[in-house]
Amino acid sequence: MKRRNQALLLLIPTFAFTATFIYGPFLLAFYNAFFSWEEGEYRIFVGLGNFRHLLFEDYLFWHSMKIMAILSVTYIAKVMIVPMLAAVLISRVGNARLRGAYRNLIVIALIVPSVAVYMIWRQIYHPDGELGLANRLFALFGLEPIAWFRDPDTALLTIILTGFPWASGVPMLIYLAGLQNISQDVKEAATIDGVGPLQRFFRMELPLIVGQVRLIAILSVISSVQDFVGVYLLTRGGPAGTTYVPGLLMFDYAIKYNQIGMGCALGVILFLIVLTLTLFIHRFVRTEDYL
Amino acid sequence: MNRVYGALKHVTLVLLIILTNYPLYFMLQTSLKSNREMREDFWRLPADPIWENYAAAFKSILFDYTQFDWLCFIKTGAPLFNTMFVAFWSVCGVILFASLAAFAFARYDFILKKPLYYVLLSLLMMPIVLIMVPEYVVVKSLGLLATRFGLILPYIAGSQALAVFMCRTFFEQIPKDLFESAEIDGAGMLRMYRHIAAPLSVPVLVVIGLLVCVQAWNDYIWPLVIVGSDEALYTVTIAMTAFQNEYNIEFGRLMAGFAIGSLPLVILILSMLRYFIQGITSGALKG
Repeated sequence: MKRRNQALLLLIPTFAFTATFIYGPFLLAFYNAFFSWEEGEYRIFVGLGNFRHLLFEDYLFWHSMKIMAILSVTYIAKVMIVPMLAAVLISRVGNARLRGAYRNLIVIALIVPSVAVYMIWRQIYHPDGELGLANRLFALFGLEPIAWFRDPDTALLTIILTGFPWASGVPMLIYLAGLQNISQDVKEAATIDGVGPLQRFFRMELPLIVGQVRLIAILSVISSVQDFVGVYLLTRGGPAGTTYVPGLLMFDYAIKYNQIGMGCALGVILFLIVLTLTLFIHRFVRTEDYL
Repeated sequence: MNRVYGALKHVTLVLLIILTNYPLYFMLQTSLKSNREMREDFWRLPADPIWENYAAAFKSILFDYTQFDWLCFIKTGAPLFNTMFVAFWSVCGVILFASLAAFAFARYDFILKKPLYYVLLSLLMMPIVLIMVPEYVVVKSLGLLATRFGLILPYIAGSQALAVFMCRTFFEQIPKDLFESAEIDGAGMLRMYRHIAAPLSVPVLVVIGLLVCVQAWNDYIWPLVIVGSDEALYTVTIAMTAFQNEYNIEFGRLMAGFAIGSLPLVILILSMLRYFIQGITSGALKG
């Protein structure tokens, strides 16, 4: 690779923007993690007190971590599998117009604002046997209606199932762009050799889009550790705390209970978790180096 | 066997498409209902469609055509215009700056390259909620509160890391021979970016543009914080929710507003997706 220090110039806009609007605020939040707002007005330096409280005294912290782990694993599985299936199938449709139509029809679902999406899911999970779509489907098979996210036993499962069939447009497009980049020669070689559809995926396509797979893996780890919008809009962490995630705990500390220092400390812990996981993926999912 | 596989492929895709799009269907269907009808049966098509929902929503996000005044419209704009303005400049900023940085990371070696890349990557891992309050303070101290740039500049900053990360993955897959032969012909950094890297990566630039556009379009919390105090700068999502309180939401009207508000977004997404494939084919010929 060429050594050129002028290339640094190309980074200036990116770093100027992020320094002002993200790093600065983040450092401020990091600093605040070492303080406590006792009466909501004055800030007192408490050193690592907030971290100690979260790690050793706060029952909710470890409880929410456990729930986050379950949700993260299922989330990553969903984002890796369904969009990949959609992208591979679309890339194999012979007719170019049809291929474009399939792709556009999956992407277009993105336009519905998430507030509206979750409103619809609340209706799907309505506990009433008549009003809820999920319970109506149950009735077709002769099953009793269940309370979905209002029942502590099923609430977590309900959160996991939300968004079915999870064919989100952006990961799908990233995979598809990667599949399109595979050169025509490789594709032709595979066709001539008469490889079956499954073999073609595992032997040829998957190894050539490892870069994209790694990208999606990292992005989904990051968003699954932090995200709480779905939980917030569906259950607010309930019932009985069975869907309480660390992101929501952070939100509650910082905004509901006005313990900004504690919220910031939790945010720093989440940041460190994501950082570790990302470096791990970056290290162990290797890509072919073309350069 | 081959026939079965071919048919299975199409059946799976059609099923996926139908299941993925039902929120869209319910959004449109609910937009024609009254609150009472929605509560009684959410799933049935409206018996007596209430088209007034659309008229009311149109008035609140575009302009009140019953007492339309050009001068007023030009001066203050309209929520739909504000949303489009913010989304457009955010997309331009993100694509331009992020692809330049990604090009540097993908093609060159320079001092502090690795640390700088990880510092940038770490942006992705910072919890948004944690940053929001201090970020508000920054925007305020720059005098950008209640301006459209108070939305645009943080959006540009917020998507840099993701966009650089995505672009780099694709830039690295461009065969290095292309760059080498260009270099022999005396092309500089910016020329290679403009004539090789960017045109060959149009698909990924489209994905980034789409992502930023949808995010800016449907964001609610940040616009509420930044422009919530100035009615002239309302975005669609703010305008739609501004006049309803928690106990008195007209869901039909709300959904109608979202439907009208996302129509330009549909057109935009579809026209962006047209470029999704072109970069590759034209590049293969040149290469």
